[in-house]
Amino acid sequence: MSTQVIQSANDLDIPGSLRRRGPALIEVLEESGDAAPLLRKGFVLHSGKRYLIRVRLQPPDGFGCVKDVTVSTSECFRTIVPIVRVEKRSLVEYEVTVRARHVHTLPMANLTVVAINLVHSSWGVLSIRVSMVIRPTFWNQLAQCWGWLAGSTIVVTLSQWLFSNRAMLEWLADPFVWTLILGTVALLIGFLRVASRFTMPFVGPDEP
Amino acid sequence: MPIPEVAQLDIAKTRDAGLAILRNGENPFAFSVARVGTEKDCRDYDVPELLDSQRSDLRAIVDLYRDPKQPSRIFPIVGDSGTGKTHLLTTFQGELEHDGFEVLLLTAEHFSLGVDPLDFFLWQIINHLLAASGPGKRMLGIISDWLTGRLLVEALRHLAPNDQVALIPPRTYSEKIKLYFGYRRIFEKRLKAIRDLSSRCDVPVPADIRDSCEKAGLTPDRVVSVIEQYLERTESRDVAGHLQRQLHGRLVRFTLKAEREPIEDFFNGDYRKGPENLTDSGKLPRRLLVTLMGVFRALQIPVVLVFDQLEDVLETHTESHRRALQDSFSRAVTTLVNNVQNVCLLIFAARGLWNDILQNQDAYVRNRLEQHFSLPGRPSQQEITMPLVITRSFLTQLIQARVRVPLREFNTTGLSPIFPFEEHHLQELEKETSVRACLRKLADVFNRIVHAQTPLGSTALAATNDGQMMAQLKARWQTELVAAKKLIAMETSRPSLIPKIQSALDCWLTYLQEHGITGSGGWSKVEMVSDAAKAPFGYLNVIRFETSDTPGLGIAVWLGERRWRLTDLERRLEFFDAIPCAIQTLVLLRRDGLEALNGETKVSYSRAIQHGRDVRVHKMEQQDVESWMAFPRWLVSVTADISKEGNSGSKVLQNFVRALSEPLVQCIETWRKKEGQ
Repeated sequence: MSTQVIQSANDLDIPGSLRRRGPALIEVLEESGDAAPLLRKGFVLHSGKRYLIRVRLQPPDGFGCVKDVTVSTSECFRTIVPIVRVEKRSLVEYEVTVRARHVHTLPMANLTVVAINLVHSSWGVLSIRVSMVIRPTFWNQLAQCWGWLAGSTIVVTLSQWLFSNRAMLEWLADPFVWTLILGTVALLIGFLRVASRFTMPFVGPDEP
Repeated sequence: MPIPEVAQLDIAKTRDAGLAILRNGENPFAFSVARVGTEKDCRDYDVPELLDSQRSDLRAIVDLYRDPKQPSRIFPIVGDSGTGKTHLLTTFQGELEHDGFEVLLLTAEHFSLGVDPLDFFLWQIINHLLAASGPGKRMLGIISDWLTGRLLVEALRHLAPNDQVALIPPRTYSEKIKLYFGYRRIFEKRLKAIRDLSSRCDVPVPADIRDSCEKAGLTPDRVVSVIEQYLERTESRDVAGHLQRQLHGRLVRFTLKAEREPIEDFFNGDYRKGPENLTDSGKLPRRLLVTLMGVFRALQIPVVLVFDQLEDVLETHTESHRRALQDSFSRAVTTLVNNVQNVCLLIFAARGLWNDILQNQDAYVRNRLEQHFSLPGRPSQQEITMPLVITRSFLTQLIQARVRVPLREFNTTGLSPIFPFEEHHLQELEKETSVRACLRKLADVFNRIVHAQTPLGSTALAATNDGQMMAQLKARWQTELVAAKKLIAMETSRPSLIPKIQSALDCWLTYLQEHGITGSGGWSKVEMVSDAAKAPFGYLNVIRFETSDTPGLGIAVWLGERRWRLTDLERRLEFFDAIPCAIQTLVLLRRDGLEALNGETKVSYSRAIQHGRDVRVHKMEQQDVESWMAFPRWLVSVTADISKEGNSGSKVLQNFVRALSEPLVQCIETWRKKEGQ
């Protein structure tokens, strides 16, 4: 009887699609304990506020369990309490506390992603990307709006004045003047970039 | 002393009334052989005390196989004929069903010489799952439901919460607007619906998945597409991954869209279709077996292959063939446990046959068949032994269990616990070692007491003349026909029944050839040719007329009532291209005869005829199929009793079979002649 051994270490495994690797639950909680609102583009967070990202694991089966969880965030988050493992009866959860930060110069919401990596004892890493929307606070948004409004008004007025005055047009034809203008704009942009990294004093709670 | 007299009078009246009720009913002790269709009788008449220890051993063994890393092993259940082995299996099956303990219990009914054990095992699984009714149909539903639940939960868990919410399409225009503008409540409601769906599916036995999905606002099409995308992401691009994607995807469709045909087509040959790396790779049936075992392992459904009544499974008519079949069987089961992980083999065998098999094997095989096994909390053992002694307590319970059914609500106060029997009857029965012998004696005594009948003898077939023997053969034939009818009714029109029917027909044809019942010309050889690659369509009965090597007449059965698919016909026609070619004439049997040919099958059939191939489509009747299925079991059941009658018994049997086979032999005579003669 001719037959070939078909059993191998891999045969004792189960198909990739039937492996229990995904998290049982992903939650983003506000400081009050309420769930952060969820919209089409992801969880909606507010700049300057603290949030708890909680990942609940599935119970282990005969093929192993998730032995570690890591959370990778972008510059839009600052980690307040590093990730900890919490065991509640038979449930195993991982929790990390972060502060959301709005890093745009424009008064619009930030779109960012948090990668949750689950390291399984038998089957390696599974990464799930959770989308987040970070909105600037009202005052921040207002200040940025005013800034952009004022800037645009100045630019429009200046350009009207320039194009109506022949002498000024000749002056503008000078390359030195152009170098001066471009340099000033570059300095302004640089300043805004640096300034946006700091939370304004009247926005949200103090840094720890 | 008037009071005792009155009491005795009352007891006598009660006894008479009880006997009158028993007289109007059937003899409850006549049922002594468990078979297809007697599951209810087995449950009603079961006496737990006798087989409790064996049943608990079986339960412990099957429990071991919930662990996905449990190695395969053979567990013999050995006992003399009539000690209740089949009854044990039937009640054990009932117990598993009652407790909701799902087990893939495959009962092998035939074993052919030289069959590849892995292909044999694969087709046992497939044939079981494709059954049109009964435990197989139920198991296919369970597997597909559990698998769909598991895949759906995992597919949802691999998505971020906002992607989960996006799966539910808006039902109304206002919902669409609310979603566009980010109305918070509607997102929360959807997230809750998805989490509820996950929790309903993430249980060992998920509730109606289709209903749960609809409650969550997900249409079956949407869920199928989500799971298919998930399968694309998680399964590998190699052959195993392709088979898993196909199998899982079709099972999901079966659960959510009630589409059975894709899964049937997959098992019947579609698993061979696919990308180039799949079609080029070899040993696809074995890869399919590994894929299927992976599913059972993941769902923690133990896979148990049962050989019930091994003496029937290995039944044959010549001594040399019997020895070869036993050797082939021993090697096959050994190969199976050596090569496939996580399979439990239960072999129910008569003591004599099992000892015979063990003695004739080499050390390698014997060591595997005799290996000790250990069950939790019990000493290690080599086999499960059926009870050797019939106790008084068991006999009392047996009588009570059997008499209770006809007496139902009759008040038996004052009657003996062994009513209608007497103490001396039980003393005689205590000498017996098998339950069946006890039951037969009890049936005789019951007839004497209840119907005041004179004893007929120890067996029903102890007839004194040929006429009586013929009548008994006819009665048994009718019983087996009824059993076969039930079996076919459960599986009608399914290709999975083809191997069973072809095996049964092979048994009949072999008997005819061995006893010279072959019509005008002799037959040199009768055999069953099998080709595992052709799935259930790879079985063919071949009768060689001139010599044992010359191509002969091939008979192929196809039970379908639907349109005849081209691939099925082509697989049968491929037997002409086999090297060496076994057939000169191919007879295809269908219920609808030549009407089955239309469209592309008609073209293919005409082309085969033009190429000079002798292909014939013959209309068969339902009773033909029932007779073929009934024959092997009937032959086994009467052979033992007939052999006690010596030569006269054999002659009566041959005459009976000759009369029974007349239409079949006439058909073969017709097919033997060249077309047009």
